[in-house]
Amino acid sequence: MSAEAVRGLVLNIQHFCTDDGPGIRTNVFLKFCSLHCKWCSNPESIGPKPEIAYDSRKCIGAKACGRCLKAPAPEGAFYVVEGEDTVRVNWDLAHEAGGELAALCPAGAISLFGRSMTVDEVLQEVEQDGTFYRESGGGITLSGGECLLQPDFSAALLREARNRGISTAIETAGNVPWEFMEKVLHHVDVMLHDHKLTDPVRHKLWTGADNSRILANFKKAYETFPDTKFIARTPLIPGVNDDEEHIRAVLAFIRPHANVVDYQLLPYHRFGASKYGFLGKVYELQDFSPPAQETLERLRAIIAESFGRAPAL
Amino acid sequence: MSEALAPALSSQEQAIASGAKSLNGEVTERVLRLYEGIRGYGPPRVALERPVLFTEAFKANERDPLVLRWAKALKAYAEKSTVTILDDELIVGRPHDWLGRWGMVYPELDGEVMPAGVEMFRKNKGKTGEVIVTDEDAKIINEVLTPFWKGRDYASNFVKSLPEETRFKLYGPDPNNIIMMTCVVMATSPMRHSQNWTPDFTKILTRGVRQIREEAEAKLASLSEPRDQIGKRPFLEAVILTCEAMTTWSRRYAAKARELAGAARDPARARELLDIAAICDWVPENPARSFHEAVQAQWWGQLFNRIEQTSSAMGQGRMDQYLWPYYKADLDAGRIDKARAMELFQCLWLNMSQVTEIKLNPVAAAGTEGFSQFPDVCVGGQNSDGHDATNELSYLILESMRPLQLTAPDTCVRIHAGTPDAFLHHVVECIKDGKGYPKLLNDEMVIPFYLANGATLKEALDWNISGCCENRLPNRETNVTAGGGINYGSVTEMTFRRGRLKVLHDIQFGVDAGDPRAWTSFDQVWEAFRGQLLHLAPHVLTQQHMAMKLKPSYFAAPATSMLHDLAMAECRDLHTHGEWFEGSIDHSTFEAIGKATAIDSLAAVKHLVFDTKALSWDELLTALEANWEGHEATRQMCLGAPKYGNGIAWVDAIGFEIERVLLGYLNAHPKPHNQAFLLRQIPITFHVPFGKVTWATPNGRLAGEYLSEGISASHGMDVKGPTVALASIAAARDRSFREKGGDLINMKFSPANVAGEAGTRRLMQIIRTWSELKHWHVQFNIINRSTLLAAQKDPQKYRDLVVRIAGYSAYFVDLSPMQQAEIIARTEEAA
Ligand code: SF4
Repeated sequence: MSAEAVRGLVLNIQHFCTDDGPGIRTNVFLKFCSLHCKWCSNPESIGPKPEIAYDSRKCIGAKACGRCLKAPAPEGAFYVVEGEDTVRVNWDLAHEAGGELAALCPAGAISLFGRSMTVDEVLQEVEQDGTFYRESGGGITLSGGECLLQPDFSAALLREARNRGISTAIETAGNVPWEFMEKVLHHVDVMLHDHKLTDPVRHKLWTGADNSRILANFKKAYETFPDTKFIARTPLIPGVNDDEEHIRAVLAFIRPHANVVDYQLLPYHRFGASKYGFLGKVYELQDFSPPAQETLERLRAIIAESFGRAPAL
Repeated sequence: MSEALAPALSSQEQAIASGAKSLNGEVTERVLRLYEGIRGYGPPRVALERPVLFTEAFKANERDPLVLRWAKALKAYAEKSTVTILDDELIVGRPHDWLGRWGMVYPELDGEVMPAGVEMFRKNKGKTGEVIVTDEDAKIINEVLTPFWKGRDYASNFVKSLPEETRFKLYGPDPNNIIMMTCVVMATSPMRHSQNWTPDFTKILTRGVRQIREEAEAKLASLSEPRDQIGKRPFLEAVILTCEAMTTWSRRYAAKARELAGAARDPARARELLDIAAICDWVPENPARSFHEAVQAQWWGQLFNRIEQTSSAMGQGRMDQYLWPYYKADLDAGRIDKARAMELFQCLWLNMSQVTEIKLNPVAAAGTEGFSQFPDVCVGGQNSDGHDATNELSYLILESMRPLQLTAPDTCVRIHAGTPDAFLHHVVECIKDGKGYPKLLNDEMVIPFYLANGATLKEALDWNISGCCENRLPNRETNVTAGGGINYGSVTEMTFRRGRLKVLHDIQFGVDAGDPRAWTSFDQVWEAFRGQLLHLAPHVLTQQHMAMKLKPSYFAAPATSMLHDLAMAECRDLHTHGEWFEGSIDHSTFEAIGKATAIDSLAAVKHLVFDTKALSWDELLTALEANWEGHEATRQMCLGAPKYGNGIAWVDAIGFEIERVLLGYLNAHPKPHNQAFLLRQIPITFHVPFGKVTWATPNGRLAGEYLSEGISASHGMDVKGPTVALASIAAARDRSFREKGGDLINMKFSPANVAGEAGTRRLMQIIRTWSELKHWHVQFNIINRSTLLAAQKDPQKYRDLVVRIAGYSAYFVDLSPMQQAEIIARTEEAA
């Protein structure tokens, strides 16, 4: 099989991204993740297989349509109750269904997250932004899920992207075997990586795994790939990790390495919350709100000071 | 995926939210008082002195050649019109006596339909799009103007002169209808004397009308051929009279200023008025000697042109270039500073902002909502040596527009590969104010266009904006006959309804290519579409040839013609351009509206009926016929089919093929002297009335809903963001024909998308890439959707909210509910 024919499970390709690496970028989100962060804004990216989602707001109703109520849709996956027209979903049955179910729905109320794509297919879509990379210094960013959980695909994709003159970046949480990370990093210009929490126990509590392997991977990556640029990031969750102590610990970890060029804070937002419902999942952080502007500014000032530059706004 | 935190506001939104008087930058109290006065006046009002004096003069000089009648009417106007100088004004001259918006009506153009227009506006009272027509005004129109012009005006005679089949395509079955167009095929010559035009104002500034008059006198003295007594003599006499008229008019203002100075209580104002008097005594008769004189002379030039006729879109030329020597000289001599230049510019802009285009023809009014009049100021670009032309005035002009929420003048920046980053940065900051201007046109596209149409490289480098996306070479181009157009939506409807149109009660209008149910491949669909397109296209050309033939008997424009090298060389009015000016570029325009509606419709059929077979012909056609009622699932499938603007190669290719059909047709049917008919795809707001007459289309669109605008994707259908949209649009353009004229792209960003310095840089990068992709035009709406919704609810608070339409900006509250909805539909949600 040629490298361009290698397949990966792709969640989404998002154009005109400006927050994940330099310039105007195209983000390729891969499915499957080895963490379960409670604040995750892409819950559709976590599972290893394609997943059905249902957005009832888009359903045009059983009377006008009703296609998901009869064969070939699995019996009982969707149903209507007396006095209602919008269909309801039975997740236990719907989860088992495949992509055909989504194809049935004319209104896009039922959709499928995750599709198998080749390197070439992905790059064809990515290359639509080629002229914008040239002007902005942008390129492709592999994200997820955890893009390093599909190491063969990610490596092949990024190697081919570079062959086509596209600059490469990945965004990773680092919770993978070192060999996976190493394999991909050979083809990466910029690695964005998350320092979610300092304390291993709390790390496990909030993300499902402790951070010892993650930190070991990061350190090894800094040392093994001196020409790669690293950007550390923390999704700032109020009451979880928005404290000075965490920020200083991350700085202590990264500052000895000259190729870690930046440390960015990504304030928590709730934009992903509604997606939990579409997937039949529960969002646990109902009562959380974005961090206060003052907190953000104070912590950013600490980082700026450490990097010896004016605080970012 | 990380998104921005707080909803950001554009400067305009901030100003409205905080009740601030101005946006970015300082303005003087004088400027603010004028601004408030103008905005407080309310809707525009018809200004009737010109049409009344013109009508009198036309009656009095019935035996003169037309050009001389026109000049005598201008002279009569200059001698008899009311002279008004209002408090605070620094740049003087107005064809009425109120501070506020005004619009001229031109009975020689469409006098016969004017009563219908008056009716329309009087019905509109208190609604959006209102125009003030007082009882007295209505009386003048109905009892003085129309009785004389009925049967004499251009518009009614144009309709009556058309070959029957063409008339039918334009005006429908009723042979007595001279007002309501079908909006399937369209003519714009009944709505304006001239196609978009930029007079060469530099001649007024550098030579003054006295030298123009002297040139005409010398030519007159040397006429020797007997035939010249018929053609050239009246033209030259008309030029002389016109020059005298302009001088007379400005001198009357000088006298008025002196009179007011004598009575002024405030000594500072008295001094100002004496300065104004001195300036008006000198310009436009003589070459301007200072920046102030140059600006005043420019205003005389544009105002006098507007009294003469309307092109609905008068380009102001490259103001940063031709005003620069005056500014520089004043600066060097210490006669002016930046603040004073700003104030003078702002006074000029405020004057221009009061000029509106009032259309008394209902179709024209619907097609140009928001009173667009395109007084476009062009800055930046390259000079005729091929070097970057940016200078201090390029910055200053943009800066002077920032503090005020004006819809006019519109500004256009010429972008080229060498546009300095510093200037582009400034341009983007202005765009981010959120008022939709400046718009950008691309040297990298327009210069090759002119080369392909016969201009020299030096000439091509010096082009200027004229109208929403149009451009001009003021001394080479001669085409002053307004163009026609075609409705892609109707072409689509006819494709699937055997050449019939619902709105015309299903009479046979286009080609009957049989029942689509019998078509077994997409090729047959395409052939049917192509057939309908080529069935209508000839009528656009026929009406154009008719317009060019008729116009010299109805219009003359000595004030415009005397500023044109070729007209002066041949001593002939520009309206006779159909007879060919030696050495001219004389193209005409062919407008096509609703491109994405057509592409998406064809793509939906290909995808659903043929490729996936998800729909049968019968299901689709039944659903269309029912305007989707009872067929919501079918409609959803059509809405969900692949759409133009998303980088899907085969869909974009349909757009390319559509352009190629029209470009190929136009290429095969040039005008005389091998001049080109240009394909333009610029909607103004015609996509709204054109949509009104278009039945449901296979892209999922409801009957009566607006069509797509310009060459942009259908509303909200370009879901992959601006980068893919721009690349897609580029793929669907065919740049290989000289016939490829202007087209328009709207881009939308929420203020959060472009916030801060990072946002500015991002927009700069997008603009650079847009230029590399060889697009023609782009403009930006940077506004929150929530602001528009709020403005619909509270028009008073949002009185001054400026939004982008199509190559121009308008006050949101001046738009019809349908047009407001259209703007909202094309506006991005905040991240
Ligand atoms: S197929 Fe989709 S639109 Fe139709 S009833 Fe089911 S969910 Fe609703």
